Amino acid sequence: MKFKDYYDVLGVSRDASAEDIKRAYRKLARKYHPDVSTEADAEARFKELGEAYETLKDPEKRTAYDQLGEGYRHGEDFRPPPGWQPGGGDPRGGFAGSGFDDAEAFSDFFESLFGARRGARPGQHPGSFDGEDVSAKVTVSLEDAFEGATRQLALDLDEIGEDGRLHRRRKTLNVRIPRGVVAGQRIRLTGQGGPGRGKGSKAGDLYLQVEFAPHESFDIEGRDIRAALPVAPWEAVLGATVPVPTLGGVVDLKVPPGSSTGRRLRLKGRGLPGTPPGDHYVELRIMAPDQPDDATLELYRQLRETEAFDPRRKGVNA
Amino acid sequence: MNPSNESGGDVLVLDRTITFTLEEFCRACGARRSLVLEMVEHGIIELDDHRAEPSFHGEALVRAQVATRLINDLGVNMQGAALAIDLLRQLGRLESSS
Repeated sequence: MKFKDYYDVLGVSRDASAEDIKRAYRKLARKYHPDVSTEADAEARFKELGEAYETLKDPEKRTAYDQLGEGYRHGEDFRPPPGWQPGGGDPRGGFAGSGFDDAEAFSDFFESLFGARRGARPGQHPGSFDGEDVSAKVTVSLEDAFEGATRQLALDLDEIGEDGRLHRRRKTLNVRIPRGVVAGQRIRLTGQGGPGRGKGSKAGDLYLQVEFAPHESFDIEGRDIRAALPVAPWEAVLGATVPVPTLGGVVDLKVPPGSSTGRRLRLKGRGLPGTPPGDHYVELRIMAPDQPDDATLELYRQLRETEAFDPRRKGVNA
Repeated sequence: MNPSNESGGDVLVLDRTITFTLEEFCRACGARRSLVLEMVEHGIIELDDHRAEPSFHGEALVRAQVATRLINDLGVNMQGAALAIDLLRQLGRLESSS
């Protein structure tokens, strides 16, 4: 087990006052709160902050920590001295945060010093507790969101073993991604969060926040798909029916005559499923032939001589 | 670590097609009834007005969970939680449109 320098975690000196500790905790808790922070390790940092504050705000725990930790540096191997009885105080009392996942367990290090924090809820069998709700993100492709899919998800969950100590267990879940999910939406999987322990306890729920993986051709806005549609100059001028790839397959789209680059056309209901379903928008992009042959070039030369169109004239494409 | 493979059944997308009774809602967001009703007063969540009994959409659950955590973890009051949630929503919109 590694020693945690709680002063370092809170960024305060060893002789910091209770006020300094509270101020530092509040400031960092705002910064690393998982609902607010964009930091990748926000949840772990927030839990660590909670432990550090729990220890240092309580004069008895702080004294015990200072004595036990004397001579140790952050990250060093640590073992409590022989005969040390963890849980001298009530670690639940007055804790400032319930934690992101509600009643999350403290680290082995904390519990070796002060005992486990968990307890039974009112009416529950003593020594029993419900499992924690767990939040995680799941990244899905637009194709999976369109059709629905089953994705495998690995979660590291803390649970109390038969030995009464905290263990981390990797749980692999096959999660059904329902058809028509959109980014930002949450999926609840009942009973798939942290395991409960003891008689009458319930497992927590798993909340998955949906994120979309970037798509090579499509952008997404809510349920609407946006994509560029390359067209040949003659298709733009004369109009054409062109094949357009959508999530549901290729569909034919009528490009009206006289279309310019930037014109947006809609394929109603061809976005992500829902009530109502999203639309698929394409934005026209007129592309020049990359290797025109002599005959094509000649036709364009004729156009240049006969066509009076000036795309830079004021009012054109306004 | 002991790996295990389980099938995640009972999947619920928390959208506007899902409705929770007040009791279910309180249990799911770990908040007391009075706190949930205070969230309604502050406009953090809305009641599903299509039902006679107080009930909520799935989307409201996500907001109520965030509000509960902000209140419990950071000690902000209800007005502060409402403001933070509005700002987080605006930030999310700006990020997704950029």
